[in-house]
Amino acid sequence: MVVIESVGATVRVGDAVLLDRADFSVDAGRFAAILGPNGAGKSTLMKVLAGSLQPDPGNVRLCGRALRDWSRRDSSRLRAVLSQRTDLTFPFSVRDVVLLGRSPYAGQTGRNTDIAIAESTMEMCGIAHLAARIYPTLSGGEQQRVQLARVLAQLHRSGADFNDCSGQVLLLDEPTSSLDIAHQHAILELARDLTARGMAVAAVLHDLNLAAMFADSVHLMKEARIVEAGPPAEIIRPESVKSIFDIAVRLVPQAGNTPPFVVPAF
Amino acid sequence: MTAGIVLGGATRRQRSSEDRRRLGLLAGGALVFVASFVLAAGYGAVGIAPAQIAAIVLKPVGIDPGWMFSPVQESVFWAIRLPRACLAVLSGAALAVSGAALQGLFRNPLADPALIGVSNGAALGGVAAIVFGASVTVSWFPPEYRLPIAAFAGGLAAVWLVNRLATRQGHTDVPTMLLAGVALNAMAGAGIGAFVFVSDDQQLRELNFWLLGSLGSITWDRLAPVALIAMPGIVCLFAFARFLDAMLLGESETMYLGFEVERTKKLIIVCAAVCTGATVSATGVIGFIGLVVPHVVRMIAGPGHKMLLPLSVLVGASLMLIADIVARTAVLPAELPIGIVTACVGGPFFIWLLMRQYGVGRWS
Repeated sequence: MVVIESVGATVRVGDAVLLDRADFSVDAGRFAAILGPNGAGKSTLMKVLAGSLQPDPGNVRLCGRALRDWSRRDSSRLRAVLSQRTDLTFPFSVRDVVLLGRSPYAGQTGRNTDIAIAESTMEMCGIAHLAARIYPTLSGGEQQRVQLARVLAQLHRSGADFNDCSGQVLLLDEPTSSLDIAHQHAILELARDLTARGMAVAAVLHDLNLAAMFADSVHLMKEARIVEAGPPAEIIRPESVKSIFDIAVRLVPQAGNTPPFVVPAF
Repeated sequence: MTAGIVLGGATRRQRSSEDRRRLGLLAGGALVFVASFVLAAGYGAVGIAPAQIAAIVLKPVGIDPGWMFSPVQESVFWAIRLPRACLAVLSGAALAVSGAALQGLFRNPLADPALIGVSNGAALGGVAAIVFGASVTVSWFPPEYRLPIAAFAGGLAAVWLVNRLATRQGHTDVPTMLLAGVALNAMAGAGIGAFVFVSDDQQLRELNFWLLGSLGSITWDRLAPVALIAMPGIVCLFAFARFLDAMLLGESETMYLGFEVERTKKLIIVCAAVCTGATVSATGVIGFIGLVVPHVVRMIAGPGHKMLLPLSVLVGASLMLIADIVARTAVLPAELPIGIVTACVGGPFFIWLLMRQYGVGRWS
């Protein structure tokens, strides 16, 4: 089942084309990675899928229905976005920031339920020990994990124990950019774990190896277009990396099920 | 399983202590407010003790607690002190809560009602009414309403213009709005300067009071429309606490959280413009309350708008009441424009706040 898709999505600002007829979709329970050089239109595609940029022409559908036909509140219970960066300079506590994720359920779930949900998503993101800390005093990586906990709280259907994520989509814009290697893997494992519960995940990644390890499909972008898409093993090849990123690489086979490692071929 | 139960218990305990803290802060704010109100109603050339105020208030409902008061005290209370205190409450509350809401909306600690143009627009409208009002008399129009209506219209027109300048294709760009507000304020300042230049001596005195604010000579007749317009605006702003919390994350995040961002932004600006426009039309321009009060409250209660908005109302009203006591008693028998008092106290206080916070990266 396709949870979110864009059809022929084009975004122009003045004379510049930021996104050129992008066809993109993620099925329930699938992890789609979007890769490409800086300025290729990855973040623009994310914003289009999230609904903060309107494609013209083009369409975005969430669960088969045009995004603009959804009320903001209803769509926000199915679609959550972790942005590249979130500037919050007011001294909110971490718990308060995570509780903001419960906004779409205002007046429906009680405050006790909301707090319990916030605690459980903080646990999932490994930041339970930071709950009482003041957000602006955290490191960049910690802040990113707090934002992820907020985003997960937004998708947490109360009552259900966060086991059923069908029909929901998580959009991650460079979720690993400010994380150390352990947390990069932890966050992507968490995303994988969510796909096992039915969540559709679309993530902008920069690391080809992480994409190969975690994604079900890889979408390569260059100059505002999606040029190649498919399973990682078919897409991550020296020729395509050369044509997209303009760097010569070779694949180093790994033991077991680990996909081959991409290393520069000097 | 055990861990889960312990965790749940801890949460409940934290919660109830958090609730107690909130309740305590609101109760404290209310206490300060009531004390300021009683002081403002009682202190002056004709002194009225708190017990006498209680007796005067209870008299019309037929209760006599036995505290004696004179007829002069009674009439001073009803005709002068009470309407004046009510105006102070309204204008302090409107300026402070609008300042708090606009600082959140603009994500800028320097925002205040003046920034969206409402104050200077109202000032320009009021100044025009003072200088030209006498020459355009309309027989059916009561002249005492000329100034407040011109000021209210001026304030709303300025906000509309600032909003219009910052809106493209249904999207109101917040930084543009800030800059448009600065530009429009400068233009209104030039207009005010021109009116001051062409005014005569009598008008100049009146202008002076208007541009620095005064709560004097308010009557129930003139207070009623101000209250009717300002109060709904103040109360409506409370409804946006959640939205304003989310806005601190940024506009896109707020939209992703399911809020109707554009519509709510407009509603907040309209509420702030209407309630400050109404009170400014009766008091003239009073600075610093809208800027300083939200900072004081954030310092005490944290940045969450659920507490920030109601506490700003209480603190803003209290500060205005106290500032007005100073304004009308500091240089007896004359009266100071209240804007001088609020700027004299607010300016240094704000600098102290800045020094204290410098480099910490938080604007509480």
